[in-house]
Amino acid sequence: MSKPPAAMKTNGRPREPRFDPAEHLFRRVPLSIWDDPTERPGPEAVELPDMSVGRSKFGHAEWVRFDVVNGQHYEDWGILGVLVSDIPPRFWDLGVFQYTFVPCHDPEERDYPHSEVRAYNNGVHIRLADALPEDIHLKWRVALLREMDPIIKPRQKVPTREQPPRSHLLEAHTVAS
Amino acid sequence: MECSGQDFVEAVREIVVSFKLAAFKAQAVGDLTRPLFLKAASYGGLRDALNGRWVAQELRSLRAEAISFRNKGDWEKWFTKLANFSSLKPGWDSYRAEPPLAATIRAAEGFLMFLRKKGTSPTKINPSVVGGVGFSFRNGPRAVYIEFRNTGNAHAAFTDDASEPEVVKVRQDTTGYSEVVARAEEYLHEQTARRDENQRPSA
Repeated sequence: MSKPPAAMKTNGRPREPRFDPAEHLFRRVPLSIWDDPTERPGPEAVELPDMSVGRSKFGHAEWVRFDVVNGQHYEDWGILGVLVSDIPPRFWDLGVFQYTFVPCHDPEERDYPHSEVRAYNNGVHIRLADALPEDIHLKWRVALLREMDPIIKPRQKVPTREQPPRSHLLEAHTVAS
Repeated sequence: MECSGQDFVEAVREIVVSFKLAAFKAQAVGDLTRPLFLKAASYGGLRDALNGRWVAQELRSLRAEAISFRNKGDWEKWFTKLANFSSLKPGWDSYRAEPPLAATIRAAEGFLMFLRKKGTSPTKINPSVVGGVGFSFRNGPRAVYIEFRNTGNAHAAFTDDASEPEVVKVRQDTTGYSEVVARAEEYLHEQTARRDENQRPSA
């Protein structure tokens, strides 16, 4: 396995709760559900609540190909990205329950860029999928998927950058021939 | 080498037998447009038969059978793919995805059998990271996604590039499947019908 860049480690850095609207969030998608680079994955690729993502302020898109929890490097998997400002912010259910969706920085020791898109019900964090009405659950995933763009396509060879990003904005990667 | 009279008679007999067999076959499948069939003779049947167009027809027929066979293979492919979801392990997406439960796969198989009977093939079938099985149907910018979840419920999402997605619950029986598939077909083909309507020249 290729080694995750040293800059992925937290190294005592604090949690950074503020997200710039122009920041990107990245998520890897298994080849088993996104194999064709000419297509886009379906809602089956989008998780809720607490969807794990990497943030562009602290990591590059190809960094999320490293699964530091299980010590795996999925070098062929595609990466989807979404702008923070494009995350569908809220849905109403029966005009009473307001579900909001926000990104939260949740650094791990070996993965500082790690973040989550969390769901809240009238301001209370929802931790279990079954605490969210299933129609709202699917509606939000479909709405989010529509805003997500392929950043790295499946099987695209992208050399891992060792240096951290210079800003919160998405930085172009190079594709190996 | 000259052809003897006996050879000529044999050759004609062979052609007549072949033509008769082809005509019976055409009649059996209700294809009265073949030049071999007597009722089609007025369409220049004999001439078409003699210049070999009937061979092209036979080839077309064979090709159609091959496509039908391939479609049969497509359905087998979907059923096999669905059955293979049972071998997925927890965390198969490298995050925390639950594999589809056996009951969810059975429910999805029931829906797939319904689709096969109806002749409506999905664009994709995949396991879902939220625990379940997802069927996708797409036509241009419009898509319908039907998800069978491990909770035992199924929902359909109707989506395009512009409007807010609409999600409805799917009743898991023949009536429910008929309703959602009819609605999906209408939704997916509505745009094509509208486009055709717009392109039609005014009288």
